[in-house]
Amino acid sequence: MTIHEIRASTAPGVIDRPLVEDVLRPDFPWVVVVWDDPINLTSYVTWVFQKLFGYSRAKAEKLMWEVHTLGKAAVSSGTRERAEADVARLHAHGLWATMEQG
Amino acid sequence: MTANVWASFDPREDGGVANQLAPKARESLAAFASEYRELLLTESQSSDPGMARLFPPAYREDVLRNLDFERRAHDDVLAARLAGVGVLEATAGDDILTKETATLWVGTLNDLRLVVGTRLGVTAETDDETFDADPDSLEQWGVYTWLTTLVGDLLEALDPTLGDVGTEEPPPGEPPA
Repeated sequence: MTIHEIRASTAPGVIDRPLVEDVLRPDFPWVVVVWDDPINLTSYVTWVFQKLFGYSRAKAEKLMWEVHTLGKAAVSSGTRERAEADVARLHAHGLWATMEQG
Repeated sequence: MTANVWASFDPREDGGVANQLAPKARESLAAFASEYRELLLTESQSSDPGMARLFPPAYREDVLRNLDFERRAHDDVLAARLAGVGVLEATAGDDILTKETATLWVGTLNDLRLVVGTRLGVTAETDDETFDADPDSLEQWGVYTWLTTLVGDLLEALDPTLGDVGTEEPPPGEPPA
């Protein structure tokens, strides 16, 4: 476990391998979704997207607006382990994130 | 930029932040941090709505996978929160915050907003008149709005261009607000 301070890190988090294997669609990437909520500020959400994913201001702001106006946005994708690490980092930053298989 | 007697945080040339909060405000933040640590260490997602908001499920419809995820991720997310709480408590009285410290403050202050806001049931429609008839909730709403100001100000001190985010309509081609 190397997440000393998830919040201080901009590198992808590392967590243990999941116990439940992907038996149905092992080759499909997982998509991380952030949902709209009435508390997080637009500036805060934009800042988190830039900080966690290294996105440009333009991309982070576009995703923030998508969350705000459409109710949700896909913010990253990858293997199940990678998606879980992103979800954990988003949770640590107070964003309402889930993951689903593309 | 003009002088503002209500200023809470100012950017510094070295990337850090000058803490302009009054002594009483600093004490309040240290006290909130301490209360928040107590919540993190004694409550759970099932016992407290604020905790449920801080530790949401990763899988929307898969109980087993959520249990598995929680087993592996919860302690790290909790440790990150506790580290942030410790930093806020230890540095609430400091006049100068390094960039790293200020960054951790943002996350912890935002956590506090999530806890207070969730307990109050804040929605997009909640405003200053919502809790007029309920003194206890009104007081918590005061805390919530103060924390909102602090998070916004601190973000702007860390990155002045963030002050413009969310104030304008999305650029052309984007969904309307």
